Amino acid sequence: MNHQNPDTCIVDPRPLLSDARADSPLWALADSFDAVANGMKNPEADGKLERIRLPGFEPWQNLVRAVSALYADDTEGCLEAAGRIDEASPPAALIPLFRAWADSPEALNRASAATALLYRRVVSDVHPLEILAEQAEEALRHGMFERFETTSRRVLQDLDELPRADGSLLAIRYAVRCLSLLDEAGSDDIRFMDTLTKALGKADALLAAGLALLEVDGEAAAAAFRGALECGEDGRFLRGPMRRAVAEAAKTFGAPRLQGRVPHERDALQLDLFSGVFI
Amino acid sequence: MNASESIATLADSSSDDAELEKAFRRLALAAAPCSDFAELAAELPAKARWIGPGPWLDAIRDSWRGPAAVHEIRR
Repeated sequence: MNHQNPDTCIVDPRPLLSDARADSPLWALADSFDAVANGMKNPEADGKLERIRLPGFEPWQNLVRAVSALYADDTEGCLEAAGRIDEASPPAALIPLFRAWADSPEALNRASAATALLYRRVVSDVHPLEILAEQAEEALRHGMFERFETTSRRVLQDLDELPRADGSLLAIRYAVRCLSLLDEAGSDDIRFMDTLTKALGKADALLAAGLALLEVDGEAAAAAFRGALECGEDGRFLRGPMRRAVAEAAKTFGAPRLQGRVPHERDALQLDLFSGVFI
Repeated sequence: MNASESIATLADSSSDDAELEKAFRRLALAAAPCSDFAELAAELPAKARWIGPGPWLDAIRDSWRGPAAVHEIRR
C-alpha cells in the first residue's frame, strides 16, 4: 500500500503549528493527540479531527484511534486502527509497536530503533497491579489489616475486570493467595470474606474460600463449593461449565472417604476465618 | 497431593467430556499454589502508561526516512 503523497504528509505536527491559523485542522490533530497521549479526552478536538478529510491527515486520525485503543486495553480496536495506517505514511513507523503490544513483542523486530525505544517507555516492565499487590502484602506484614483489605480489594476487582486476559481466573488465584497470606499471618481478627464478596461476588468468594480450604478440610471446602453454587451466577468465574465442575468437586471432596485426613494445625484458624461463610 | 493436583485428577477422570474436563483444568489452575504475586503478574497483559505526546511524535519523526513535511498543510 502506498497512498501517501510525500508532498502532503505530516511528519511532525509540532513545528507546523507555529504558522497555523487558530482554526487550522492541525490544532484539532495536536489537541486530540495531546489528550489521548495523556489519558484524557478532548471531545471537541476529537470531533473536529474525525471530520477532517484532507490529504495527510488520515494516517494521523488512525494513529489517534490506535493510541486511544491501546490505553483502553482494546486489543482489537488497536490492531484495527493500526492496520488502517497507510504504510507509506510517517505514523506507520509505530505499527510494530501496536502489534507488539497486542500480539507479540516479536513484532518489534521490524521496528525502527526509535519505535523500539518508545515501546520500552510506553509498556511498563512492572504492571501497576504488581505494585498494588506488593503494597497490600507490605501492609499485612505491618499488621495494617484495613489497608491490606482496601488494597487487595482493588487488586481483586482490577484482576476480575481485566479485558485482555482470563481475569476472573487470576482474581480467584489472588483471592486464594490472600487467604493463604492471612492464614500465615495468623490474622484471626479479620473478616476477609466481606472483602472478597464485595470484590468478586459471593459465589466467587465462596469458591475461593473452598479452594483455600481444600487441602486442610475437604468437607468444609465442599460446603463452600455448595454455598457458591447456591449463589447463582453473580461471579465472573463460577458460571457456565464451571458450575458443573464445582458441583462434581463438591460431591467428591465432601464424600466421607476423603475426610479421614490428619488434622492440621491451621484448621482452627481457617475455620474461624471463614466462619459465617456457609450461611 | 495439593488442592490443584486433587482437582486435576477429576479432570483426568472426565476426559470423555471435553467441556467438563476443560472446566476442571481451569479450576485446578485456580487452585494452583502461588508463592509470589510475580507468578500471577507473568500472566498479566502488557499495560501501557501515559507518557504524553512528545515521545510518540519524536519516535515518528526519528523513524521517518522520507521528505520533510510541506507547508501547504499549515493552512
